[in-house]
Amino acid sequence: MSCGACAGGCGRCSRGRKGAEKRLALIGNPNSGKSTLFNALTGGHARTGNWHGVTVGVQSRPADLGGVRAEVFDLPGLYAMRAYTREEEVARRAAEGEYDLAVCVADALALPRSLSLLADVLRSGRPAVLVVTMTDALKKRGGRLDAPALSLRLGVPVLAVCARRRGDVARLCAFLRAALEAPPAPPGAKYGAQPAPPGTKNGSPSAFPAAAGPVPAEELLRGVWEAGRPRQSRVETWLYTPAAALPLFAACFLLVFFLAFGPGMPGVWLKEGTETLVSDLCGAGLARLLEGAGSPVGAALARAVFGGAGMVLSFLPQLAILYAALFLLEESGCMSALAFLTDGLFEKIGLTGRAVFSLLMGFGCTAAAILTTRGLENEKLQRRVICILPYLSCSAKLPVYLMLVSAFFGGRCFALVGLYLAGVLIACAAAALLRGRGEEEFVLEMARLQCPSWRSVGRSLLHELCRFAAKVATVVAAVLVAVWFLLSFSFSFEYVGAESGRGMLAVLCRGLKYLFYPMGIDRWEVALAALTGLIAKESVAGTLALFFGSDLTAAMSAPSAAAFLAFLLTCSPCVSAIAATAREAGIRRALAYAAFQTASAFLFSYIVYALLSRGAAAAVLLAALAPAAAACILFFGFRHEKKHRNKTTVSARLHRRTLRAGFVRLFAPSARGGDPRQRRAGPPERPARPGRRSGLVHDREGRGAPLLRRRVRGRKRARRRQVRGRQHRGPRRGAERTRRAGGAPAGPQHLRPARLRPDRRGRMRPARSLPRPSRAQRVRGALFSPVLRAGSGLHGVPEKGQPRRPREGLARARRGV
Amino acid sequence: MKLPELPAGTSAEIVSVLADGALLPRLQMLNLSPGKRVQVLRVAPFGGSVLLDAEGVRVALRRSLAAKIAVRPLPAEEGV
Repeated sequence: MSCGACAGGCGRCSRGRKGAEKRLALIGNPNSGKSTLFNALTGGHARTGNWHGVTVGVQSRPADLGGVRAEVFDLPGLYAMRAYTREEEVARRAAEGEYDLAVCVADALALPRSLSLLADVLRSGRPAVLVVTMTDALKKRGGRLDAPALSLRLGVPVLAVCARRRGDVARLCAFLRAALEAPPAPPGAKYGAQPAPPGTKNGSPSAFPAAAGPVPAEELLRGVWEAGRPRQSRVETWLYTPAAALPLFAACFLLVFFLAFGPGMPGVWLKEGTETLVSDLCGAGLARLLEGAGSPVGAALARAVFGGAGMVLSFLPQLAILYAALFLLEESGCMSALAFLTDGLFEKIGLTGRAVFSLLMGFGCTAAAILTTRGLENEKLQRRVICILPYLSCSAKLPVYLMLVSAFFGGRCFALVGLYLAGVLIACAAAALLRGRGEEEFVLEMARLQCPSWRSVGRSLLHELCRFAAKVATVVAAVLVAVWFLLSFSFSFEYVGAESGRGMLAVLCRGLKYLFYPMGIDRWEVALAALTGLIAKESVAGTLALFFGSDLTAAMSAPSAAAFLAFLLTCSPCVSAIAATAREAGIRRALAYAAFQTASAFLFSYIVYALLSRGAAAAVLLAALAPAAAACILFFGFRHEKKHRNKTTVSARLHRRTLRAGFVRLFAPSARGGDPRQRRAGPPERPARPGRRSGLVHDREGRGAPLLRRRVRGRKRARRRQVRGRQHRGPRRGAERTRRAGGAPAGPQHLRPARLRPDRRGRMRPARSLPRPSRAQRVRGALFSPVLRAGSGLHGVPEKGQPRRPREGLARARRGV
Repeated sequence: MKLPELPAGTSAEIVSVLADGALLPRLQMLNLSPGKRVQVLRVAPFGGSVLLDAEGVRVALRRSLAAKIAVRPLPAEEGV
């Protein structure tokens, strides 16, 4: 049972709760080993990894603590009760929920920090115990921890464990059982609650004040805990050296691909063995048995299902290799090094280094990766990552890639690497297109490197593979059976055979195939296969195998296959990923993303087919143009910001080139010279204030330019009257102002000589609007107007046909003042 | 002096942190508050982030964020 939102309080969770069952909540800093303890206590399969923010939702499982039944809740990591990221918000809400015992999990190496969280928990009046993990790492660094003494000082039961050791897990069970049976004394007189002077040295129960301000954790831990000296190992030195680490990572990725897909490598021959076992031995054997029993329909079904499922299941060994690499990367702590190294690149496309966790996971399963995006810094960033995740080929797409690639293209390994790379490039391009104006913040605590525990890697691997096999056995098999049924039976439920083309689905899918015509595919079976991909990507391969076996040349030509691959690469993810998106970003966004991705995938594949089938000339042309275009975008691309300024009656559109011009900056853009529209970036803007004329916003120092914000609605009139120095412009009520500004003759309007102007037909008429103010007036106006005073760096390019701003007058004013 | 101006390998003491909102307590939890000592371990390529050691906590900070932290460089022997 699990509830994504809370550990207690909500009706969903308590409904399934037995009266006597106690609830334990694992609370602690990120990467302190909560999920590892959770798995050890409950035998669950919570995702673990050596980086910060693996767990993003609350999960729970019943556990047997040596006779006492309890329900254990695993919370995302939390630094303090004040949440910064969204997964912390989830954890905070859960930590404030209802449970019987708070198990504060602390990393032995960062104990001082964890104590403030413990103080927060105790302050809320809940019974709590402290479990210190990773004691082996502490010992290795030469540190030490005296748990009983710490327990005495804190007034809270403390246990030091290493979750990898079996004996320690048993000790933990006994410890928690004791704590549940005799709850620790109410925290009224304990650490974190009662303000009292620092206690004694001899280890008697003392209470440190923590009611206000930070906890003096160092003082509290003096004598009972020593951190030891951190030593930077050689691996770490290499890993954090960019010049060495990036090629190393690239080489590792290529090696994994080669192991999985290279000719003569373990991945390939294991795959062939599995395929033979499932489809040839099991499927054919069962079909022969059924035929012998006199049931040709059953035999056909068995052949279809085992053929398709065996085809998909045979990718299990290759998946195992990919997943093993991913888990090793996670457990060893290299992920955060990768995040640190790639943050600079990600910054260019508007993401942060943290996104590398989700993106790498996207190669495993898009739906799971979408759920991990909650750990990202903000919602907009999360949405961008969700948008680009489907372009990273998930493991379920692998079977169909392999099937198409091995049927049409030589050099399977290279073709696959190319496909994956193309996906990555498309994802980067999409992210760059979607990136917003705002600067993202990136702050990430680095995980310590450690030798990955083979047991936990093996456990995760086995779980993941079982999940894949279960999915093939249930979802894919069900799809295959349904497809087979709809194909083999006509609308009058008469068995017509799958090849006859008179089945229900055959008739229905005839319409769909027209969408695939521009890819050079005229078989409705392919359209059907693409459609089943919406349910699960594995079924595409299964359905294709159902119709064509492993020989796809009957279905399409090589250019069509390339276009179909391009379609599969970019089309919308399966329903489980759409559901995950809906959970994170809302159902409307999820559907919109899926629709857009499918539409763009069709367009993209049409282009690919057109390029490939229209001969090499077009492709060569494109290949020549693409680097040039890329270079242009990278180095010389610039962005304009348009500012609409309607100061008084003159409305001008101002351009300015932003300083973030291009992705790679060859030369720092300067405010002087070159493009006159370039302007120096000013200090932060000052927000609009009621009473200030229009919505103009100025920077604080007055050096930058005024920026036009929205008008503050409903206050226009009132503000106008307050404003001083609004002397020129304003055609209808302008005369009075002009007089006050000292520019025009005094006296009521009817006493002044009327200014005459030629109208359209050339007759002299009294001017309806006031003429342009004189230069002196304009300079004076510039002095009084906050706009112009601030606008020293503003070089506006007025719209055509409008008067220019008095620039030289302004310059003089500036010199003078 | 701002934090990103420090070359890799040097130590410094934090003078002030100009972050706002929820970021400030977060940085505080990561030992990035005035008075603490930091050492710049590495600087990432592509103008990315800086890797710091803040009294035992290893943190990666984007350069724009690190620029909000003012530091006073320490002589080499005083480093953390």
